[in-house]
Amino acid sequence: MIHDLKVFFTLIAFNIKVTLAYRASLVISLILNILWVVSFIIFIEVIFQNVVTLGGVSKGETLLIMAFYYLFTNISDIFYRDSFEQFGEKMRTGYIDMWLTKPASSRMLMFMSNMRFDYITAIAVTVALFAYAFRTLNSTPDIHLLLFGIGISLIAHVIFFSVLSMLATLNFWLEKTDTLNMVAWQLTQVGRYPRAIYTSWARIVFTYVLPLAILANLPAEVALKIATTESIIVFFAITITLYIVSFLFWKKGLTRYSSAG
Amino acid sequence: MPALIKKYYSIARTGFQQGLEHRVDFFIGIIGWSMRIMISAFLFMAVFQSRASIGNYNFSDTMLYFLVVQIIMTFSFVRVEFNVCNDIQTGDFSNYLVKPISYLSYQIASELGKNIVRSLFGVGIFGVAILLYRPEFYLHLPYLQAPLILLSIIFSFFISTFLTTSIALLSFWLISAHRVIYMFFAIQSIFSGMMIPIQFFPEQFQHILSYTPFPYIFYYPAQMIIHPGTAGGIFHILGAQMIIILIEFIIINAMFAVGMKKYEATGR
Repeated sequence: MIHDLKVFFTLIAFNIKVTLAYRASLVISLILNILWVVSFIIFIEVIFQNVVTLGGVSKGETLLIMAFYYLFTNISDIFYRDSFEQFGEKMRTGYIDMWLTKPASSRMLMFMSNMRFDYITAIAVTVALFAYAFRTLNSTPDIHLLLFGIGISLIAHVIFFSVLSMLATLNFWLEKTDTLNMVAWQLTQVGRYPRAIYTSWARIVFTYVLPLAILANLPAEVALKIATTESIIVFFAITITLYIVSFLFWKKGLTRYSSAG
Repeated sequence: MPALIKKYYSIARTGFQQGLEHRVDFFIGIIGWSMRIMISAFLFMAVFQSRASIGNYNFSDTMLYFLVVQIIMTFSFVRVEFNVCNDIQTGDFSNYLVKPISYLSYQIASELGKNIVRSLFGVGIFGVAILLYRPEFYLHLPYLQAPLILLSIIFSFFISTFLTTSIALLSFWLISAHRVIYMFFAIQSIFSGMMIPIQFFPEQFQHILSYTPFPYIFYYPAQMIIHPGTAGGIFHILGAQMIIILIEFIIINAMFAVGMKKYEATGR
């Protein structure tokens, strides 16, 4: 465990150096992030120009969910999204061999080797979005609840990491597919809206089976003090279960992998 | 057939064959599309719960619009940017520089071939979905204008390809343009009419958007099919699409020329 942590911090140090070598990335990432967030705010404004609530959720609450969604995306973009997106190609070209022989967690090396600290600027945009959400809500955030919400949001990365890990593991069975990354991206879209819009079976699926609807919703509910104790307990149970399932699936996938030369 | 056309025709044909070969890719893509349609369906169910219609769209029309957009997307939604990004990042780009082909034309011809296969599947799947959902839609299709609509969809392919290629060419200056591509895709999905019809936006904003390439990718071609009367004149749209293609063509070639001066690779 301590060894894995040391490897993790070494990866961070290495990737920070890479970021500093490509300073243009910082600027372009910031500009595109601003455009991305502004585009989605426009989208939400257009929706709320036509309705008062979205499945019973107000505009301010929707914006807070969106702020947590972007915070979630920022962290995943920085630490592991790029590595997941490149995994299929690396596996096909035999690049993962060298990771498998190293004395550290194979999943951590595969999925956290390419960190993108140039996306750190995006967090500033997300902070501005939080401010806008609370302004629209016309309330001052309770700092303890907000921090608790951010804590839940950080733990939710275990869920997303596990889902992405399972999708990436599918590469061991599929000969060649470039579309899995696009599917992964589509999956994150589930969490962008209030989970109240998902009714009947979809609510059950996106809460318990593929719990993507809670990634941003639960932290927002915690920050707004409307989350129930049961939902937080269920969240932890799902997190642990998914992590174990994805780990076992990864181990199973590795047994199928072969490479030469 | 002139040698140049023959060369790129061969590349497109290879792309077509690759598209047929990697059918799994297409069907996994269907999962992604289904997710998007489903999320949108739930979103619009929530929206139309409190309002019967927006512009000339009610819930049923919006979902029909969505299905039509999916058909257009199978042809006009491109993935060429990921190839360009990977080639520049890994240095595989060098391999193309020594070949007697234009790198960008190669990628576009190959993508065109693949998208022809995707659209054949797409028309089948989403065409049946529309038939089941709104069978009367086929009675009101503007059949006489079909060649012009088809031309508009072909133009939309080039607008989409050039636009995303210009983002991918940022790889010359970035660590990797993958995330940037996704961010751009998110922006494009809102303003191209992929998520909601542009009619949902305030009129002034619609006017501003009409000066950008985005609505010419999915929204206007879809409008030509669903509401031919309100599409703002087919020839006007085709003309605008041609101008956009020309401007984008100049931009990507300029970016390519500047990027080439920045590009470095060793050991290839």
